[in-house]
Amino acid sequence: MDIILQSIEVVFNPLTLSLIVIGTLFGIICGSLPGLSSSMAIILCLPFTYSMDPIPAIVLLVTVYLGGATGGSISAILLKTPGTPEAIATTFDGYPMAQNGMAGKALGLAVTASAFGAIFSAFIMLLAAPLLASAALSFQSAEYFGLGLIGLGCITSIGARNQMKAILAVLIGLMISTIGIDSINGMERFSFGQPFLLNGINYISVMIGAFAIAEVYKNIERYYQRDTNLRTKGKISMTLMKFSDMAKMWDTFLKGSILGTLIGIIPAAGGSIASLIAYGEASGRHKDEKPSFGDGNPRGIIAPESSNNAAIGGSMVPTMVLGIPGSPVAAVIMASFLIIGLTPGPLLIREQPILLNAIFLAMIASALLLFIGGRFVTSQFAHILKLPYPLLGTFIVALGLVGAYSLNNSFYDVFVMFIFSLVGYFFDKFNYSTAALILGLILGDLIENSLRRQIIVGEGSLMGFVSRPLALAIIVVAIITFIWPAISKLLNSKGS
Amino acid sequence: MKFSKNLVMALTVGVLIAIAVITDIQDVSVSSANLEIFPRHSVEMVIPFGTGGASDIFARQYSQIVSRYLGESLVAINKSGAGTIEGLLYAVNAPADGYTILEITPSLLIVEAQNKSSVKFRTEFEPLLKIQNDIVLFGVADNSPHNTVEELLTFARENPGNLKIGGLSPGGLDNYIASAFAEAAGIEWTYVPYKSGAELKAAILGGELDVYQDKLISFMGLVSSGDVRPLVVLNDKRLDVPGLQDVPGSVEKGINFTQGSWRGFSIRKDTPLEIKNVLIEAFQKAYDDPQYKEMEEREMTNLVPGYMEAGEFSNSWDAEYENFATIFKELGLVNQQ
Amino acid sequence: MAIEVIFNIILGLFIVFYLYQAMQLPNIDDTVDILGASGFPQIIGVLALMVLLFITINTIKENKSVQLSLFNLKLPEGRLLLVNICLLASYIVLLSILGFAVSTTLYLFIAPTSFGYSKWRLLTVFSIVGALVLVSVFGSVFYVPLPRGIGLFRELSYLVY
Repeated sequence: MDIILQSIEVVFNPLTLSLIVIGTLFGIICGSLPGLSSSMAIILCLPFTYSMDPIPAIVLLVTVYLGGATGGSISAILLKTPGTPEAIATTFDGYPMAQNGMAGKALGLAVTASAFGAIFSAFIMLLAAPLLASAALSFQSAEYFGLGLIGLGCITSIGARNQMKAILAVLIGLMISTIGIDSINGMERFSFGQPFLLNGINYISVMIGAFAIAEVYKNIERYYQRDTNLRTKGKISMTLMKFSDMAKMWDTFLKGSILGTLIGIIPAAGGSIASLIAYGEASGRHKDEKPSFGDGNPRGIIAPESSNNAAIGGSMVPTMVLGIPGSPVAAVIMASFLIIGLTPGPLLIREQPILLNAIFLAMIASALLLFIGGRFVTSQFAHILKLPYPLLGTFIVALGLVGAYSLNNSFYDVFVMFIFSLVGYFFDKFNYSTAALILGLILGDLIENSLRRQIIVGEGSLMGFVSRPLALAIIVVAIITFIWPAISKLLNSKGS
Repeated sequence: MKFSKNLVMALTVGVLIAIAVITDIQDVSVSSANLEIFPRHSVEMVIPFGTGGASDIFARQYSQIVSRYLGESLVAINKSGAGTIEGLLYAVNAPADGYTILEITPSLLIVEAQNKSSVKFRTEFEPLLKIQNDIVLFGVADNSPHNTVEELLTFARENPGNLKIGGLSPGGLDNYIASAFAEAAGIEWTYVPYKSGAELKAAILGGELDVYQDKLISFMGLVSSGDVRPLVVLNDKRLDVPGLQDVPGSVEKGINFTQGSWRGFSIRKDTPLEIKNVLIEAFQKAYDDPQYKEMEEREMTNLVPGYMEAGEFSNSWDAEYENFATIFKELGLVNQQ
Repeated sequence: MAIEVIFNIILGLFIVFYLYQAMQLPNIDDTVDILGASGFPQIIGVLALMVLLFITINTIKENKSVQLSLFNLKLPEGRLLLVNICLLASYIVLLSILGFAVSTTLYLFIAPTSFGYSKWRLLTVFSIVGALVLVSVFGSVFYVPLPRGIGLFRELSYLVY
């Protein structure tokens, strides 16, 4: 009790509260700009923490993380440019919804779901951290492989229009993911002696090209055909969802948050995989709803956004309890513990009992702030949609370009973006799903490496996938996800 | 439409002519500027690694201290593409005017030893200063049957290839350490690479790996929680750190192999001497700064002093390069072209 | 239909090339890593070829026509698209010569004119303000080392970011 009071005292004082506001807003801005990651935002905040006490410093960093994961959805919804990797799945339904004139509702949903996910995972973190952290250790290579397969199961919903073409797109994505240095034996693959191919192809630059820039190409065509859709300058307001509407979709909020928290806890998988899996789950379960998934179904925003913010609380669990960061961003936060003067690792909670509570309170405060901060920032962003399309389209291209460049400060990513803008254009024309391509590209690494790593630790045998109960269960679920559409079709046809 | 097309054409041509003119006169304007005082504006510190790693955080903190002595800010930028090659290429292509400094670690020598880059690090760069050493330790999970390094080695000799040791990225420093140690100790084990330190730690605690290797500060976290039992320090003597006093050094156990990571800075070879001296002085002063000493103590990189001046540093490059080249040739990871 | 078949053939060539490259990968004799570097690529490559074959057969059967204005330069939107793609390409090339600030200003000014946009005053403001916003946010706030260009442009850029 004493500790709780103490932490309330530390967090709810003017200085820390203003840090929460600043951190959240800074995170949102950084998150909404493509190419600037949350890790970068946190690193940039570090010098300011040197003169602070440890707790306010950590509070600042955690709120930046939270703001970043939320901000990514803004550009995903408005410009079809995911600002952060975690916002990938948000583009699938967020952008169509905004195009249907409901940008305000889409943004509102995203912010609400983000806040919900953050609060949910903060409670889980506070109440069950030690228990869950040790459970996370049962996740090893075999289980990661299963997780990757479940992620691939998304295509049954995102590629529902043309299943075979979606599968081909995923396979091409997987093929592209094998470019670069083989992460198991260090061999160069498909790099043709080009050093810039050694690190592989960055999926964010592919996304910016195939989603955002290809969309501009598409709009350029339509612009000439005097498409009316582009000319409507609907005012974008931030209507928060009615509680009654929200209550109807409580299951998606909750499931997204649970999936996000769990996947966040696992060290090798973070917000982006969490949001894809949550999206896949929601779209599979509610696939007969109208508007359908991919055309602006609200659940298609709730699921990824609640899960990617829930992954934050999740990823802090092993960071605090085991000293093993649950996501790349959590790794940066852990590294900054050291600079701030805290010894990272398992003793942290024992030596700094206030810390966990303080992080919890900061997450709650920041999540509550998101409703207000989100409203402010998004209304500023919305001005950009009022530009006439010749200006808006041009600006999106320039923004996408500087975003791609900022990923590694490299021209090569800009080049990749350009190539994939053309690929995206053709894929779109011939009904291949670009989302499926990205899905394969993101998950390829996880699937191939965990498969091979499991075979290595199993000394050349595949038995590990069967003898580990958790792995087996996950793989079975993944297989069911894959064949379920076929089975249900079969059952339906028999029924009628 | 027609009007706008013509306009675009005209503008494009105009721009191209302007470029041709301006790039032609550039050489004159730059060479005369060199004689002025250094530095006139901010200096870039190229970090050939991604944000958030140990080498990145070190360089960023150090750059802030150096800025104070340099009079201009030293701006840290990450060029992490292509496993340090992108950073290397960027620094080589920048003018040799002292405004671009490259952070270096063994990784750059490894890339050269594997013949992966067309730019040869040692022929293009010269050292400014080596700042610190980071020691590597081996350990096992606390429920492991191996209590000492002898037991571990005996088991490894009896069951070649059975033990699994983890590390980051194949063909990197961790891979070298695992293989070269095995060679020096006369054992065989299987190297399993992971993508991040987090996965590596989860793998040792979750039982997928038998042997854990990590740099000191990161290693200590699991030692102090009792999850990992340290077995050997890759060093010629023991470390005076609580919890590690009883852990033998590798040389003490008759294994003639010591290797850790280190961090330093380098600059393009044809940089004018006066400019180089200004930089060395600033980096030197930053090394002596109490703030750096404090930082070093926190990160436990002060146990084996890494400080080395340019000449000595340069020699150490050649020695390490040879070791890397030998081991990676055996592993089949050297590019033949 | 014809154009989609051509697209499929290009995809097919890409996959075959990929498979060929995968076969060329040297096989380190490793008893534990049984898949090796080439195993996974070969599996997905073969799968991709099979799926592509299936799709192509369907395409020929369905015989639907697809509009591709990019290759139809008789259409104004085709020309507009092509001009814009070329503009983007030259923007990328110019970045390393002129630096980020100058080339972005130029691009933001020129690209809208290709649409026939002619509110010159607004366009001028837009291009300068837009470039300034991108430079100050990415270059100054987030310390992204934006391209500086060469020669005179490099020296000039130090004044801005």
